Amino acid sequence: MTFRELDIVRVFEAPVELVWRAWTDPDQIAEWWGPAGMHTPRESVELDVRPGGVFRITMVQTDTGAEFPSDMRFTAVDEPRMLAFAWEGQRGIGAGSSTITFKDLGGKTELTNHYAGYINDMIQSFMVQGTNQQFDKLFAYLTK
Amino acid sequence: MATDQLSVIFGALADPTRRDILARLAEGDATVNELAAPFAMTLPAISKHLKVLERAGLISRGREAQWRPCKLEADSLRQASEWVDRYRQFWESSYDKLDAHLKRLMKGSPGD
Repeated sequence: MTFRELDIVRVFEAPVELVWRAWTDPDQIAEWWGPAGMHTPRESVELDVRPGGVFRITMVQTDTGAEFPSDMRFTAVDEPRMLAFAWEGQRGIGAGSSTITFKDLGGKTELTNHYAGYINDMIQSFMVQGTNQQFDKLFAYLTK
Repeated sequence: MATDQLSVIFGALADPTRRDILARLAEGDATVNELAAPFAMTLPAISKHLKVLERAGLISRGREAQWRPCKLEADSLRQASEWVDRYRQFWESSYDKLDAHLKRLMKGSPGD
């Protein structure tokens, strides 16, 4: 397993209070959690937004019905500025944590998701070497 | 696809010589001799790499004893690639949905 850190930053055209609620209200997080092709049933969401509280949520692959549960725990909560949660190893991903920072840009919100955790070495080496130009060319050929 | 098989695929892809071999096979089938030509390696060494690729399902080999041309099995590679893409794009894709959700809230559309 390899330790890895990663920041994903995005600016949303909404005030910070609204973005905070979208993250912390179970009805709302079920609306957006999970990538395209996945949905999150409202009844799978369990949010206890305080340090030590549970954060459980299950994505479902819409085509196949395959379920991807996450069992996490909040480690820090500072409304409406910062939200941190952590998890034990699951689904081939090692133990890790995400710290979500909500930056008020006056009507807009900059969200920074700082990931820190362990990932499978195979995936790590594949991700690093995936930037190899020839490899990209090969993939472009294969996926065209 | 089973995670174990994905691990085998990632392991096979982690070696630069094996990726070069796959790149060559993307241009068309080739024999072991043809594949070995660009490398300062013995045929047994190349054969070893081919075995790893074959076990990962990334290539298949013809059954004619003499030539046994190697063929790229693009589907295995594509599945591995898709898996990694999903892993990396989890947040970007979720955030697209969050963005749309927030826009709906901002418009105050019914149902929100």
